[in-house]
Amino acid sequence: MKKSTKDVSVQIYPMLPIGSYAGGDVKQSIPLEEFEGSAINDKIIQSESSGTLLVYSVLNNFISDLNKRVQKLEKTPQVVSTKIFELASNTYTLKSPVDVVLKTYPEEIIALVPDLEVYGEGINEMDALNDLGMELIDLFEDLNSFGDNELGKYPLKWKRIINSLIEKHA
Amino acid sequence: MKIKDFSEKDIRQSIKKKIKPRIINKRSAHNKGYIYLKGKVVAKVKIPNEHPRIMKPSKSQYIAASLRLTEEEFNALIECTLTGAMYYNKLSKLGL
Repeated sequence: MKKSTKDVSVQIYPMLPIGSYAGGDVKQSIPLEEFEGSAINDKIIQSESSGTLLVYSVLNNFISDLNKRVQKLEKTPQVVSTKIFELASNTYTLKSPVDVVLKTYPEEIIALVPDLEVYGEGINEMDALNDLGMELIDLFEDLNSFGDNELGKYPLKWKRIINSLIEKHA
Repeated sequence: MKIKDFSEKDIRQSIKKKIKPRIINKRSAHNKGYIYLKGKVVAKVKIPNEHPRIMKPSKSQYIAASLRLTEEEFNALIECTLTGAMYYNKLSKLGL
């Protein structure tokens, strides 16, 4: 049995919508029982000025879609590249600046050297870069404590790279 | 599949118990684990601290990548369905 419906004129806020939600009047069929139910108060209100029914369910869908997109954007880190020029050490110095990828998440920042698969972390850029500096020194010491024949292909590559970046002073 | 919410402690214990890396602790805030296969170091992993807080996926994804695991495999490692033997079998297939 076909549900009874009532055609209502829906006015969508002209300043909000873009694209498929372009402003203007559209027709929408709403199930009659829903129209008459108490829940309709949450969805539709009678405009005092024009008598046009504003269907909030349409806007709610739009807002819900926007919220999902905002949440997705918030989870996607902001990525910038930077360099570190110094290590916080008198024993170890950098031979040349090291390229670093900074990824900013809502809760923390990750400072990453992708070639070395090493990263530092912190609540701000300074913390993350300082932590990365410590990680680089640790990696330099660790890898140089292994003979080349003890390292697989990736650790051997890391060792070559880090030895080209860091210098140890007596 | 996304990495599930695991505590830092659970991740730490799973890595230590199943993978049994050689752990080195120096300057930085976290221990490093060096993973051996056939007598050679093939991977390294930053081991979380013994803390009950949930590790954010923004960080655990790097641990999964260090271990050469997909997000699904990482979940399985922490949830016990991926054993240490299975892990090392996977590593050997990767030709590291």
